[in-house]
Amino acid sequence: MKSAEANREATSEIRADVQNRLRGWRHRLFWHRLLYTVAIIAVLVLIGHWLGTPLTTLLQQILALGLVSFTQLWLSSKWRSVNTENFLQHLNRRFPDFEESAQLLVQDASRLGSLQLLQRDRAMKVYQKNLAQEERWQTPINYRTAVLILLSCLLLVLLTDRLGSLASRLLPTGLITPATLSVPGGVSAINSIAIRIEPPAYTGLAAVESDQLDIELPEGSLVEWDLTFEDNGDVYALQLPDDRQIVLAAGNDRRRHASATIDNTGLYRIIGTDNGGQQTTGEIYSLTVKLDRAPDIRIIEPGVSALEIPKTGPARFTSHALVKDDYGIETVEILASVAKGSGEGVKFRDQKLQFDHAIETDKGLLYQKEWDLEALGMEAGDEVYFTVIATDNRLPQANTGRSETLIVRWLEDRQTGLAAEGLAIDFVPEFFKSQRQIIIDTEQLIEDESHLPDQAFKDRSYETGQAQADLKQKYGQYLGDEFGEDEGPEEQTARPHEAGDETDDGHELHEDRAGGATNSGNLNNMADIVRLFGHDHGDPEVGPITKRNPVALMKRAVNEMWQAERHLMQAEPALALPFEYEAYKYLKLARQADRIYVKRLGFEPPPVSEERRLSGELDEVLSYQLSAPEPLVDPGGNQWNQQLLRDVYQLLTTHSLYSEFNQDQGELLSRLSHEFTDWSQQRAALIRHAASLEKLALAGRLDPEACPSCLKDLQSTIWNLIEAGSGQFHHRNAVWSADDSLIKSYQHLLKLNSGTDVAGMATGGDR
Amino acid sequence: MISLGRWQFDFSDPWTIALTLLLLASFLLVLHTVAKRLFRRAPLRALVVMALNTVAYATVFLLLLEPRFSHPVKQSVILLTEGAVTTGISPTNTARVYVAPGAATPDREQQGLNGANWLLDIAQLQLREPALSAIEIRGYGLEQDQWQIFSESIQVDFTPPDINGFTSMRWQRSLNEGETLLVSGQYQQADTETIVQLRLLDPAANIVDETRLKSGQGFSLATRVKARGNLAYRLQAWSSETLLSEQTVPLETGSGPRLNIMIKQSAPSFETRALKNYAAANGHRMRLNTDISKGKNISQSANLPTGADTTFSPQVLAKQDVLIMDGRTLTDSPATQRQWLSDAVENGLGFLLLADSTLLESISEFDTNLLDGFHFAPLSGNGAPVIPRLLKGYPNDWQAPLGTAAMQLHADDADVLIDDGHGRSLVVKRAKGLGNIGVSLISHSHNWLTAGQQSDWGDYWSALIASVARQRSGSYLVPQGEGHFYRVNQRAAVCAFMTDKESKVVIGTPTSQGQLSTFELQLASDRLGSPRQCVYFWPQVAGWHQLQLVSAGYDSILDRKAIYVFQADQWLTQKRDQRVRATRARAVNNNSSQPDTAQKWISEPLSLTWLWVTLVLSATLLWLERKLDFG
Repeated sequence: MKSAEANREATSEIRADVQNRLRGWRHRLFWHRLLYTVAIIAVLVLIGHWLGTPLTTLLQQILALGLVSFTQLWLSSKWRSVNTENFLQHLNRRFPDFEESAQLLVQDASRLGSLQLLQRDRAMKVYQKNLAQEERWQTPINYRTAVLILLSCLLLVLLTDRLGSLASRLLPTGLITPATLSVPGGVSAINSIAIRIEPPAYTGLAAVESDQLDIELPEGSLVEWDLTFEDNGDVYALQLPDDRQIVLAAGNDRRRHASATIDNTGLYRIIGTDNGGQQTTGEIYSLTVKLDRAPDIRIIEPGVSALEIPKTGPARFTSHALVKDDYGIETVEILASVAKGSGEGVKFRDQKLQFDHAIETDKGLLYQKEWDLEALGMEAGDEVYFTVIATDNRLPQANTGRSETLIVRWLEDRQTGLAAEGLAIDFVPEFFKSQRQIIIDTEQLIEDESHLPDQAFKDRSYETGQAQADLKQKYGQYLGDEFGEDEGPEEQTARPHEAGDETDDGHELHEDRAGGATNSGNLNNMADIVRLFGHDHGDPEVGPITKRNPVALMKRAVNEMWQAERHLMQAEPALALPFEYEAYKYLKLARQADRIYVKRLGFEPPPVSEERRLSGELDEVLSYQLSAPEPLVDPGGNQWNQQLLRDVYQLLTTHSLYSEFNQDQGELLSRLSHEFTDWSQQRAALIRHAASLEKLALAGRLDPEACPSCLKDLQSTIWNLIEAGSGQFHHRNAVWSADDSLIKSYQHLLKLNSGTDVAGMATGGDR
Repeated sequence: MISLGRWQFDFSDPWTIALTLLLLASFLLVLHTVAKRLFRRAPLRALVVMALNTVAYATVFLLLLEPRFSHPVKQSVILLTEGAVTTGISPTNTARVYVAPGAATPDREQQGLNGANWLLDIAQLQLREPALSAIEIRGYGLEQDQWQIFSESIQVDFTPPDINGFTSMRWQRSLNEGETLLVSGQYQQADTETIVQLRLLDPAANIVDETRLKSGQGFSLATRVKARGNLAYRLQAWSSETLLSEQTVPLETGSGPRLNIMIKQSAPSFETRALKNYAAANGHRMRLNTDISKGKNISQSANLPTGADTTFSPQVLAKQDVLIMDGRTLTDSPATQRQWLSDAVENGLGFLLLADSTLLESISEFDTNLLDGFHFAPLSGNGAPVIPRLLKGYPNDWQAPLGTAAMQLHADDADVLIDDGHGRSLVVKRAKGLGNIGVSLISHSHNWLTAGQQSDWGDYWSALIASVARQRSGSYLVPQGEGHFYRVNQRAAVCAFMTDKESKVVIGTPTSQGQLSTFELQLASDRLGSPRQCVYFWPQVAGWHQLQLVSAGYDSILDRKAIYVFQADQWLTQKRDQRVRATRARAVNNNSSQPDTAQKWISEPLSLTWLWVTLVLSATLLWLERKLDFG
């Protein structure tokens, strides 16, 4: 019984041992396959590296290769043939000592005959003797090839890293290739956002809470960020526009808190620092600061810039000033300057006055003051200039606003005179309104027409016309005698091309110097005389170029002023308005033209003494060379900014979505972003676009997800900032090739017939 | 092909003849066997079996040869094209209804088009109606190339519906920054008296030009393009406050390649100074030689490496695109230099001469043919300022006068670029060899600059330099025509002027997600090997497509361009108008040349079904005869 029991146990052990060995065998097969698969993957990675295969594609290829490799192994006969029967057969082949009896080892001993039992015992001994040493029965596996492949691949990768990838060497730069998608680095996700904006106390505004990281706030507000991050391990900080870094203090439950007082519009971002000190930059957000503006002061009454009070009085008048501010007015006072005397003996006395009282209206605070000129120590012939000055409640530094200066003249004697077209005037004040102010007055007068009494309307129109006449006279004096009071508008309009008529202008200058009075009809003769006997002062290469065209434009402006004045004097402000605008336009053009001048040629001769200049010696005059390797554009100037805007616009409209920016393109976006940030101090709306540009630069590609719906706005804004340019130089495309045999024959023909004109055949081009 | 009366047999294939002979031999053998087997025993049965065999062999013979039968027919069809009203249309005894591709969407099938035949390609119509003699077109008709596949003998009856929208549209698809975009066309609508307001909007939706017109009147809207990139202007038609139509006007703007400009002058001048500053600020490579004393000069350069050769030599001239010279410099220059200049112009250099009084005095002493064909004469009086008028391109609204040289200028076989509006030529250009010579009497264009009219000044010099400068040689993509529209699922041709025969075009096309996928096509030339080569592709997605002309070895990009592919429903009226015009032209040509009573002889194959039935029946009977052969 015991023997039978022992045989059973031995059989069980053998079976278990065989199963273990089979498992080990399968493991060997698995690792062997894994090694070769890795070797093949290494080759694949190497090829992918050379061809610049995107990482995602490579990973997909590796996954597919691994799947195929191991599925094939699992389905292969090599794997399926690893079973007990084949194993025992293998032992029979491997060890002749088994005498083809290895199968007896796993058979139930109770069913074996005695001879089989004997043979089984012998097989058992052989089994125990030989199977302890695996190398005696295990099939040798060749690892060398796989390892060799792996090492070779590693070596090649290291070598070719220095040479660059095959793709980068074969494909020209700048060619469009399908974009590779990559995710820009960023800080941990933010689970919740709670922003509290506390405006300065003086504003009287209540604190506001928001869940948006793009913040709009009054100047000087205290902003508190209360953020909850997904990740608890990192250190987070806010990178503010003024380069301040404020650490977000850790609170409970992954919450972080920081606060800062914000004074300027700018961009900020959240920076994360992990335990290893590695910094990651998060999204870009904007801080749009609404600046506290200085008080706005408008003097309602007197309605004119210069108020005349008759000598006989009463020397009293009332003034009203409307003052408004964003948050509150602190002080409002009048700075008055009383002028007494005339000429060299004029004396000024400054004093501060207070308004009598103020009324709160929908449009602001209306301040009123009753003036008594005698109480100010004035007498007939004196003047008082007054300005309203208001300060707001801004802290720590209040904003100060000033009104325009008004002149009040207590007339000494009644003055009368005649203006153009025989219209009677009472008095011509010394003070000149600007053309813009005249337009405003006229528009106001047109609006008030229905409310004003007829006489009052006429008076005000007349006053405005007088202001226009003053201004015209002022420019007339500047322009010369021919634009004085004696010349009517008809003479002006009879010379329509005067604006650009430099030759005429030149002659006028010449005539002025000669003291002659020549009318325009004689100019041609005059030009002939000049051409015959002297150099032409009107020649732009000789004459003072900056003074001609502005003058011509101002002449046009004065011409328009004539018309405006006539209509105003006749109480027709609506008819006068178009002429006022025309005059304003030409004045502006004149100012621009005044600024525009052609720089002198690079050749700037040194000052030469009279002796040397008249000697005629040219020995010291030398040839020389000047070179300017870079375009003549001032960094930061308008042309530079325009170029930047144009470059960015081109990038945004031609770059394909998701394609990565190269380094230059990224820098271009960042540069414009910085410019926008600077400009946003005055135009706060631009900060949004600065943020968009920064986000695009950070994303590294034209990614609509990085900048949802901002792209179109950004393009529109840039487009509107670009100024209209002028025609660029270019050449047309030829429809012939210089290498064409026909063209060569033609050129040869031309040389042979150099005296014959056969031109024109080959030069018809298209654009 | 052998004809027996109205029957036609095709024996062109040798195998047919061999099989026919084999069949004949087999038939004779069978007859012999049948006669041997049955004739003595049952003569009637033998005759029947022989008849059955004859029928069976005849059917096999016919199946083998597929003979055709000719007969006269006359067939009219109603062809529904895009825009046709589909309700109430049903086939008649004399006219079947066909639906052209794209004429109706599948949901229209439920609107009474069940009896209609749907064509996948218009060429199928003639295959399905071999006797087609007349087509009644409903809708806006077919395109010009579609009509080319129809026989001219087919009568076309066409009454087009009204068109409401933009037609005959033209605009430049490619411009240089600062140039003027000119959008022209017509606006058609049924109500011819209603005033329509057309607005041109820039990419930021600002109105840049507008006009008012009645139906059918032509319009022209213009704006200066102020930025580079792929721009999308919009054209809107408004009636009162109702938007009638809005279409995209895409164009590509660039800055063009930088030019090499050389100025040689006898004295410093504001004219050339302004030109040099402007060109240098815009990146052009400038060389400026100014005489300051006898044998002494200043050489200036901009956008060139320090020490760049600025001398007046054949080597330097060969690299220049434009040479600008004043008259005195030309007359004072030695004969060798004038010969260099003449050679350079014949090899393509653009030469602009700023005429002055010195030139007028010395022109008769010239010993070179450089200015052959140009004629100068003194002007009576002085060179009074005139308001120039540009005669080529978009008419500029120049208003400020400029000083001119006091002379008359005209040239043989020349283009007048600018005149004074009263017949006096101010700038004239004449071709010489491969180059151009321009002569300008305008000497004070810089006055525009000082008057703040920089755009006028830029337009003036841009027009001059474009006309005169050395033409761009080498390979480039041929610009798209002003009236051409690329559309989705329609063949798009991209052509290039090539000097490198092996160049390719890489086409970047947007995917539906907005990404760019690229593919390349090899340019193909015509049989004559002309330098203009083309590729064709069928765009699948609307939007901007990037084109790059790359050299064979991918080592350089020869040219870039962007084209805009429209959706099928964009500029639909433009497309309809083109189809109406093509169909009208076809209808007019046809009616005048062919009588209406045209009928056609057509040959049709026999119906194979009945032949097979006959064969099966005869074979069955023969099989039964043998199976039931009990006698």
